[in-house]
Amino acid sequence: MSPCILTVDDSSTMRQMITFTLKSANFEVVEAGDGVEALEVAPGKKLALIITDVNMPRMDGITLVQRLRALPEFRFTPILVLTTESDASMKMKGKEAGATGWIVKPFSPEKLLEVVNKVI
Amino acid sequence: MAQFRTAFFEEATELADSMEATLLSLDLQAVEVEDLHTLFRAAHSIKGNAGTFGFPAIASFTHTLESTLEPVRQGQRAMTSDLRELILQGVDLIRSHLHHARNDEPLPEREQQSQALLVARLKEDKDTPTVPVPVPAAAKAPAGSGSSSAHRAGTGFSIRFEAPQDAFRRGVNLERLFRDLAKLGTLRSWPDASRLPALERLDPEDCHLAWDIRLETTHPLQDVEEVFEFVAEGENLRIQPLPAEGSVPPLGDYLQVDANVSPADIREALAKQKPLGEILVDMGKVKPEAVGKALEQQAKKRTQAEASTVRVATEKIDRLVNLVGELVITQAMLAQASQQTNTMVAEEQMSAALLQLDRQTRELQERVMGIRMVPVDMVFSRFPRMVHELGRQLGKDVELTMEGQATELDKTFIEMLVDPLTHLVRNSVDHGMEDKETRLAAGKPSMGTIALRASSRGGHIYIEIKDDGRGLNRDKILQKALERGLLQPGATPSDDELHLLIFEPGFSTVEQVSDLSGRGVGMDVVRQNVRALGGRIEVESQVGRGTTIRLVLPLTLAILDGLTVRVADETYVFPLASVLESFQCKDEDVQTVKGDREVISLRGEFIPVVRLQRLLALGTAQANSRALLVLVEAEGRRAAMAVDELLGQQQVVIKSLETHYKRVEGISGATILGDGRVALILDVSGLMRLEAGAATVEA
Repeated sequence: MSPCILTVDDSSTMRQMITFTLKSANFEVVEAGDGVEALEVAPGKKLALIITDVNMPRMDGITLVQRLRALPEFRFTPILVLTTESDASMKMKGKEAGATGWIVKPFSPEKLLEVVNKVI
Repeated sequence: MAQFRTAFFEEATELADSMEATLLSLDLQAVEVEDLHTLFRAAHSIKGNAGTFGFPAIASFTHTLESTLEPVRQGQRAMTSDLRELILQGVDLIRSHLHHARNDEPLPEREQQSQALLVARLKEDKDTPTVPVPVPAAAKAPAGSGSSSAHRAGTGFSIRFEAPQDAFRRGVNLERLFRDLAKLGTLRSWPDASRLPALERLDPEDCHLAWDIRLETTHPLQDVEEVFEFVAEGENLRIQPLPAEGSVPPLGDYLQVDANVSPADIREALAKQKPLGEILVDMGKVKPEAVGKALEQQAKKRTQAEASTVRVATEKIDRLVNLVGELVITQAMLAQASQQTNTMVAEEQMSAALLQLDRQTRELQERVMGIRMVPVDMVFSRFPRMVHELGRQLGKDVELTMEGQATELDKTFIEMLVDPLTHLVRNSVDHGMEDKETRLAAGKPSMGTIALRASSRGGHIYIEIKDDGRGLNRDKILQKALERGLLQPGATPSDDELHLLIFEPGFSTVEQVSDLSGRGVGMDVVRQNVRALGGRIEVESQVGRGTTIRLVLPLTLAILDGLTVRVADETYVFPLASVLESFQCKDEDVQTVKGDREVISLRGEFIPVVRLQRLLALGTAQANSRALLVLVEAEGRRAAMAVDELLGQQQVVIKSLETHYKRVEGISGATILGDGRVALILDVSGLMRLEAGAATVEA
């Protein structure tokens, strides 16, 4: 069974792009529109990786990372945050919250796969 | 990809702006560590992005800045004003890179040179310790131990990596990291568990592992850093290149590779080594102060030795050697052609060889000159910021315009010009410029302008600093000169003579001495330096209108693109740079005004006609119904010079007339033509001055 990745983003275009790219690289993909939805979707999925946007309604990506890390199931799951700026402060925030790494937007499909392959 | 590129440019520009702002706001006496981190990160981001979006040149240059900043933010190197200056220059170069990359064009040659020079300076600076170390500490430099980093000749990197403590809790896959690293080349690693705490204090979810890694790879540093992207936190990752091929690695490297001694052990052993000075102090044979003095002397000698040499890339020398090789072949071709009995074949061979020779000599000349020549921009580039800051400090609005930054100068000249030019520009802002209120009251725009201009004309390089400030005050200078005993009472010096007095030692007219321009001690040093270069200083000034200070420097060895002409029986050379066009005219096109002055109407503009034959005292010009005119321009003025024949364009080697004879107005130098005859090189602006004064050359 191919590894399953959860992608969290409020922009459906972005979700589609990520899903399409990951599926074409033979990953299973689950989608969520924001942090709250992600916390509902995630449990029990045996996720290999979670990719989340930062700025989202209801629950932002940083909070999501903190909440996921608090769940035993996701303590050691790789989590990537999508940052819109390479501004180090957002990377640091993500890191402090427990994120494994980040992808700076905008990114190409190749870059996405490159980073994904770096963590799983 | 297009929208990514735009985003990249915008972001990189912002980062460069932030670097500049941060640098300018640094208080060098008390540097905030966070500011240093900011600088480093900005450089790092630009580098990373540039690599991602396909701008390797930007990435590699920014990398140099980044690696310069690395020891600084780790406190191993002081942020000095010099270093700040260099990095500011680096920021400018990044901007320039971005600008050209945006337009899909390569970085212009001139800026590539600036970059090469800057990179060299950054590296040079690195070789000499810039953190001021107290004497006993300085004596601790290891005695002949060589580098403590463990590596052996080859391409690749020696890496020390201490995993972040939260690596596991962040889901970092260290195994994956090593796999990615191994993909880049041959990997060898030595785990170091020395950071593990005692068992009772160990949190199994904390990561305490560290590795010394030796990676032999042809990949650039950026690729290696990429692998560590999510785990690099500055101090925990140190990547050093393995020594270049050809250099001799330290003993530790051999032990590491051949005997598998871990880098950590080598470091420990090296730490036990003591420098010569320290051992001698311990033995009671010498006082620490004496060791400090000796070290100082050694450092001084080293600087001297470095200053008297030029660093030339081996590639450049290789290219020269190749060229000489090609010349030898060409020579052989010519020799063969000369023995060829068949004239047709001989001619063909000969012309082919000559064509080759032409190209080779030109290239050889350019490359040999190129070894020493650097654009004047190396000095100029520091001024916009300096003027801006000075203006701000003094509450004056000053704008700096620059021209001719590409003008090339000998490296030595550039180095010797830095101080004088800095002083002159400072003086212009400090003394030359009035404050806003005074300017407005005088009906001038509140924004003052300083123009820096470099140009190469005839055998000279001209560097002008022109301001639209208050100008030199004749009465004040006169009074001061009398007080200082520089003039005899009752003397009536001309304006020119008077202006030059400001360069006399100890001369200053500013009662309130500011900390910026000092006490007039600088101006005589300016003149000393310029004289040492074989140059002279000219001053033009009008009260209330501004001052122009012109440094006129010789360019011995200079090669000039010239237009050779015949006037009467003599051959003269016009610098091609000042020639606009040449044309034939009928006598009736030339009109006489004011009795004896001639002008020609050219496209609605009246241009004075200069009869060179008369001006150069070669006898009276014969009535020539179809005069040949060469239209020249200098210092914004034009003139049509009448000559008898255009002989052609060629490069000439400038020989100084002053050295061999004396200075002649209207003539800037001499050259030796292909047939061995001497031709004089015309100084167009000098000729115009002569014509205006209607004098003739006395040569």
